[in-house]
Amino acid sequence: MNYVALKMLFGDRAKYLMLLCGLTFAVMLIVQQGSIFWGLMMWSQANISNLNVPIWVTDPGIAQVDEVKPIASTGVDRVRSVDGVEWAVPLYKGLLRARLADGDYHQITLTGLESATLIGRPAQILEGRFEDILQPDAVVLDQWAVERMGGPAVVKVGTIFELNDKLARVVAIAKTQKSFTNIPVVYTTYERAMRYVPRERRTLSYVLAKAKDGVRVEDVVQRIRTQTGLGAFTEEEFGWKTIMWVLKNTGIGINFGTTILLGFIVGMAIAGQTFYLFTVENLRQFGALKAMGASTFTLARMILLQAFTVGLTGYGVGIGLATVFGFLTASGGNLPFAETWQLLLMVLVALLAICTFSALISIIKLARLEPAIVFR
Amino acid sequence: MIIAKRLSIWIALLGVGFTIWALLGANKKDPMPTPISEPPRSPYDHVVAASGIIEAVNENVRIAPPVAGLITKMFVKVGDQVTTQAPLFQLDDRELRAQLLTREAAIPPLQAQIDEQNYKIGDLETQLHRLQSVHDERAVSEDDLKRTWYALEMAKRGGQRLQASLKQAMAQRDEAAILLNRLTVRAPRSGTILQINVRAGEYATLGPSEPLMLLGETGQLQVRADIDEVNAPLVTPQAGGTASIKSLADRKIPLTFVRIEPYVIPKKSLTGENTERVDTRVLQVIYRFERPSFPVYAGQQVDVFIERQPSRTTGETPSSPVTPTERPL
Amino acid sequence: MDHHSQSAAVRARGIVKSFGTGDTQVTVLKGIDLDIYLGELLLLVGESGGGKTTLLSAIAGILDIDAGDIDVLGVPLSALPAGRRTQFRGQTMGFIYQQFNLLPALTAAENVAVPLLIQGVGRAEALRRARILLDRVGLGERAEFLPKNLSGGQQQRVAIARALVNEPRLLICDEPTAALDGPNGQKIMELLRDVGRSPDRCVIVVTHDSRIFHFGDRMANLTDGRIVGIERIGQEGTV
Repeated sequence: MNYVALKMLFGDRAKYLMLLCGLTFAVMLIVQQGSIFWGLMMWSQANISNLNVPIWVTDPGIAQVDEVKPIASTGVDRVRSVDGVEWAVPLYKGLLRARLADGDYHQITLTGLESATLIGRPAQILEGRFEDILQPDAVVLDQWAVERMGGPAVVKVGTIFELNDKLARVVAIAKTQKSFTNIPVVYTTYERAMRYVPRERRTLSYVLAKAKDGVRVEDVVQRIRTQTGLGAFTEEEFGWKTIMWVLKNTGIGINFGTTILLGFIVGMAIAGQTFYLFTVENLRQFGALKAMGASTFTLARMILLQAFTVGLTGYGVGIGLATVFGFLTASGGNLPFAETWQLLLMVLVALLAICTFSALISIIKLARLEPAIVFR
Repeated sequence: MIIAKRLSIWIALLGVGFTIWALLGANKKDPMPTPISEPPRSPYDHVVAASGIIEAVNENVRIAPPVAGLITKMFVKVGDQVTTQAPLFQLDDRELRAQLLTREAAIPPLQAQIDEQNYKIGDLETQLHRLQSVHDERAVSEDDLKRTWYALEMAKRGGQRLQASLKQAMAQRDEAAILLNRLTVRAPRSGTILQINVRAGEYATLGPSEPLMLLGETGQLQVRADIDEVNAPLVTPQAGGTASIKSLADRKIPLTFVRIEPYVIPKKSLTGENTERVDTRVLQVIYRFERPSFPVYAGQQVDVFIERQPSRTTGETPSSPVTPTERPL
Repeated sequence: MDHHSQSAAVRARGIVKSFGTGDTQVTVLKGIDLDIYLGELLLLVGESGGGKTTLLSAIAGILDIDAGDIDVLGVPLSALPAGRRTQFRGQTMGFIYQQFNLLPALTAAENVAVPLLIQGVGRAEALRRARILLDRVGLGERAEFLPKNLSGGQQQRVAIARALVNEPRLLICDEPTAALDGPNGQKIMELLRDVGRSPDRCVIVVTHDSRIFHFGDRMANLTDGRIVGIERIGQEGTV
């Protein structure tokens, strides 16, 4: 009877395509919205992921990555003193104003990397050599800084500008993940950052560390916390902390959440309704089958098979289209789009649930169906 | 199989395949770029980490001028080996030299006056002699005799005064000469000139923020490690350690414990700023090391790892680690 | 009579069926007594709305009745639970409808095979037997046609093949010729008489088309919820 069920499903090409389009559209809508939302969240923690370092240590009261709470400069040594820490290096991070030659001011994030190792530097360089940052007055910009500060015509390798009245010379352009606030990032060495920034009592923003091979990162983080009293986080933890902060303190959570929820509900309603209509229209055929002796159980199985078949097909086409969309629009990095398997799994489960649900309604209707309908 | 005949199924499979491919590609995290030089790693399982600075064993001498003044001449350059009393630089001495000339010129007139007085004394002595040798009371009155004797005595006293004046003038000349000599600043002990912060023509002030010249002994170097006061209880005396200079973190310099400085001081941030910022307080531990095969210099920063016992014995109170255990080098 | 000496294939006694409740309640069957015998083709005629289809549904066990008993092949239908009754129907009855009720997505052969598939017969075997049946109704060369590519008469022939494919003891036909023109209706009735009728099967045909009355063995007249007369038709004088 599975054969009959599938034949019934595919037989009416117009109905099948309509059903498939509805499901595809619903899946695409949800996946696309969810991915854009998640992409935005990824942007909000870009300043963590761009450094790509497993452990972050800073003040325990830290709320998110861009809110710097400097610690005493011995922090590096204290973290190095913790068992299981392979290495630890300082990181400076702070907001500063850059003044271009044409007189334009731009707010920038100054990122000071430890000069000997340059740990935390971006992996991909678009122009120049990152190692040139060790030259006097050298800084490296990220690609978004170029974009924000007036494009490649204004800022390029060799451009000279002022950071807090001190000279800075661009020696390289790095490729990074765009961040939520999109404040340009200027890389320099930790020591030089000290020279650029106004005098503060404490200047060490973060200690970046790595656990020894064979030691669980979570254990080391816990040990750093208890032994130093500082706030230590794995990269993921810190990312989540930042995302949670953004969700709680900006309108994005509510606004985007509502949009996604609506998209989800609308998508699922479309999916459920199209499939329900499909079975209702086929009710007469199911009645005939019932009159020929097909049990309600057999019919239920047929309907579920149809539901899952069309559901999975719509799902496949839908996520494929959403991915193509993301691939085409987000490849430049200008649009937030981050598809995750968790989202896809969630959509799959929800879609199968809604298909099962509408199939169940149809089955109930079928169970109540008087096969006598076929005599009319 | 009926399913295989549907284009939509193939499109769906294609979609799933493309998505999986895209996900695998997108979620593949780039590995961290390798550090341009090895980060300092601890060679021990349990360590106390510290930042240190290489310095001369005998602490450096910050050369200061005796008086404020213009520098006219430098006798040494950075890196010169100097012996005790070797001249280092010359302050402007023209004023004192002029004074010396005046003082020296004051001596010959005084000497002439003394000569003159001596003749006067001789004359009076001769007169007095002659008057005494005449025994005729009518020819020589008592009065004349007395007057001549008084005149002689007064001339003698005048001679003495002139002698004293000469001595004073000579002393004044000597003073100027000594002061002049002082304007040549000399090495208080032998050593190497580590740093020179003034040039000829500059004005040396008293009590400058940075020394005019730094004199030290670089033959023997040691490491002064700053340990956060929080970690101070973890340091055990005699514990071994290693140091590595920045950007050569994989070349470890073995350290031998010398002593723990008994007084915890405010940490200086080693940023090279004129004004150091007090951040936290640190315990300083001194370590000796053999010169490694690569060059190291006094004043260089190093990352220090000090071995420590794994168990933190909080119950027992250890004997004060601040016991000088310096051994002769 | 031979027929009457046999036990009836269908034995209905005192059947009452009402639809609706209260003021709107309509009693459609008002105490029906009817015996139908194996080997005969019974025509059930009467006015529209006289209860013909309701009686048919009741005999097929599709519709629950309010009072009375129906035995089919000695099995009391009302005593069977719903699931068993559906199974029993699938094994013993074949249906032919006014609107054919072929599944539009299936080919003629597949449509014929559906009752076998429901019974759990393998697809290849079911299709083989379906083609034999299609040959018997004269549509062997159109086995792979979809219903929409067949004429009304051909569709009804497919429906007949489907009704016969699992060798039913009871063939229930609801106005099989109503959607067809005269010549096609005649052909269908000939097919029902020649192929459908057999000694161990009874055929019930509900119709109000007087042009086909002569195909029946007996004709029961159902008017206003009651059987008002049963008459014997045609060449029965020789029977």
